[in-house]
Amino acid sequence: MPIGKKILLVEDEKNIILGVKTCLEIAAFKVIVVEDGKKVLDTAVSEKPDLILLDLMLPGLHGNEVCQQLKAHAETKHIPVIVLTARTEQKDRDEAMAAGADSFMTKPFRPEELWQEIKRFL
Amino acid sequence: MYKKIYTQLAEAVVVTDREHRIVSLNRKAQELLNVNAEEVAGKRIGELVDAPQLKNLLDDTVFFGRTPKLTYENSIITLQRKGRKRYHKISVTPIFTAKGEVESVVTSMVDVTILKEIEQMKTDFFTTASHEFRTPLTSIIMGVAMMKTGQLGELTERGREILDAIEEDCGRLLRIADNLLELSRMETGSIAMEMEESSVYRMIKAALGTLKLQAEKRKIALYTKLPPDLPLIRSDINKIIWVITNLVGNALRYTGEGGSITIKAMRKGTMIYFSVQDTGKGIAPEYHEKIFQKFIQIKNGDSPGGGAGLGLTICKEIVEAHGGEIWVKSELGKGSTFTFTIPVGHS
Ligand SMILES: Nc1ncnc2c1ncn2[C@@H]1O[C@H](COP(=O)(O)OP(=O)(O)OP(=O)(O)O)[C@@H](O)[C@H]1O
Ligand SMILES: [Mg+2]
Repeated sequence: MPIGKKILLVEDEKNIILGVKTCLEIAAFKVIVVEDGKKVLDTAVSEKPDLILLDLMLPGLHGNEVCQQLKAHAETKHIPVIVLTARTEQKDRDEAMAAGADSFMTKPFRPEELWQEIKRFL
Repeated sequence: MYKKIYTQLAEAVVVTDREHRIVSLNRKAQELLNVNAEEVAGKRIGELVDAPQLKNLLDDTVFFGRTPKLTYENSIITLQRKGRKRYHKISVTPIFTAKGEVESVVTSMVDVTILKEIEQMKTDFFTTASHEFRTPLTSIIMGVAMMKTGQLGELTERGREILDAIEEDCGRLLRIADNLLELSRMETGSIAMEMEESSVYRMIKAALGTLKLQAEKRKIALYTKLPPDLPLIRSDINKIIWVITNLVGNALRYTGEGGSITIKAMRKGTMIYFSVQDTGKGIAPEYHEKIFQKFIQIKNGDSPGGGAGLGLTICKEIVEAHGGEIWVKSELGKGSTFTFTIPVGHS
């Protein structure tokens, strides 16, 4: 696992934050958490994470819109975005991909699955 | 008297001839289609009702001289009325001459928009419920998996056993949530079937791929008996794979170590017969029909943790949506054979 790589976790459920953050830290990632959709772009610009994990149902701004912002901004558009969502419909997947997401994972997932998906991009 | 009944009927009724030209339509039908009878006499029904499946139905009724078997989905047509989409359930019945030839066809239409809306609410409810289940399950599954690795501290033997049990039950909970959603979608016909010409061999292979490991673990032999010349069938391949997976999954669950499961497919007339035979504990006759109903599970102490008794209900919905049937033959203690049929494609 790539030691010290920085991951921005965008999620508002505190229990999931705890689970995902712990899982990433076990794998030696550095994790920053943002809970408000509106603050993602600024944080991404200033922190320059290597990858973004993005929940869709966010307070403030819907995940797909956040994704569009990230992909439209010169300083963040190269950062891989993995969408994490509890929705299972193909339509949700299509919308996320259309918004520029690089990949899509359906909750729940196991730690290995998350690591593996992240590895594809780092 | 009959004339009066026909006129006053709450259902819309349209009578057409062999070429689908309008012979007569009652008051409700005139209202529904926003026309009057004189104006449209002799016109083809297709000019008034923009629903291709109705034309196909009428074609079949005239050609075969009987009411075609209709799935729920196929019996619903949509009509625009005052700018709003209305759903109508149609049924068609042939009328014969004294010689037994089809003279005309009676089409009746009932507005089922309200039912559709309620069904939609139900599906939305299950969609939301399933989503709401998945979020908390994420933190549970993540937490349990990390504790099992030992990276959050040493585990006792009993602790590990408990974590395994939690993991298993999380899987079960997830399956129940998914199955409730799937069933609600099937019942409302709100998922379009993706029909394509598909290979029986491919379906069975795909279904068994995910189950081989389970079978090995439980020391149950999996056999397939497939003739080499099965035709393609018109079906939603993922749904049929789901059915086979579920039947074999059940067989695995209710068959003891050392048993075997045999999957067969063969053609008889216009149908493909799929069967899944196991050497398991069998099913008492009084349950042969019941197990296809929602939430029915045969309780006894040694039955290993299943889901919610929805698997077979969903199988039945899927098979019937394809125009097939599903049933079981079984004797207690002597294993069970589940069989389902799917019509061979039109080609
Ligand atoms: N191959 C089989 N042998 C013996 N009993 C069976 C077999 N398949 C099904 N049954 C009985 O029929 C019941 C209903 O099966 P069904 O697949 O609908 O539900 P389930 O497997 O209990 O749960 P679910 O499929 O929702 O996870 C089962 O609980 C079991 O008692
Ligand atoms: Mg089952």
